[in-house]
Amino acid sequence: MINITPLIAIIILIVTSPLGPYGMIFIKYGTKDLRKSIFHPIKNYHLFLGFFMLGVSFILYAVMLRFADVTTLYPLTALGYVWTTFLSVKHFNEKINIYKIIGISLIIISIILVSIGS
Amino acid sequence: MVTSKFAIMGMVICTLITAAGQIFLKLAADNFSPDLSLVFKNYYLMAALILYAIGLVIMTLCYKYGELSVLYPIISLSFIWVSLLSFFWLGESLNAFKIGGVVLTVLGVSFVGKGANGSTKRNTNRSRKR
Repeated sequence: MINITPLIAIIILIVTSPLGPYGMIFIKYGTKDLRKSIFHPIKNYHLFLGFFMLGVSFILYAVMLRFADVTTLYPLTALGYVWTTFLSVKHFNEKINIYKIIGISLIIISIILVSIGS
Repeated sequence: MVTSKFAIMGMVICTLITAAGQIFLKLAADNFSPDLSLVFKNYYLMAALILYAIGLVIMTLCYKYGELSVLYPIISLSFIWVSLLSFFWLGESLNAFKIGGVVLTVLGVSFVGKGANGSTKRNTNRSRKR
């Protein structure tokens, strides 16, 4: 069995943190024409590629939980919110305003609080 | 793109379903055995996977009708349901940090919702003009 220290587990999750958010971007892109995405999945691969990326990031997180505590790894999920916000601005030209920034900051603080408390 | 109210409600329902899925996943992990023939008889695991799949379908449909930067943060509401369900159902402890986290999550999602395109009158007028 490979031995992964908690630090390496954290580094692996930080490096792969854009995987889930990119999956979300692909899913959102795939919903533009749902009929094509579902019935012609080879030509319109975005939706299922998104599901696949989401699945891989989920499994990666579950595997890393074997090598480190939930309390150490859980705050890393906050990175997903930052990535998703940046990527949706970049790829879909969504507008960012002060409310969204405050909201995401509060969510990130709450993630840290929950992991301190558990 | 204006985020539809139904998409936001759909995401909230999605968090309820995935939170229930997480509780089943926890129950499945408690009864987990690596024997492959038993994995498929682990009904908690099957229930968790089915709930996740339903949640994923609802989420995908909602993404069609809203901004990703608004709909994605709503997923964080599942912390609240998981905290409450694990307190009442699994008998786990609830402390000041967890309660503070739940309160901040509600506030955070409210702010993100206020920032959504089309959530205020001024925004709606502007997007109608386009």
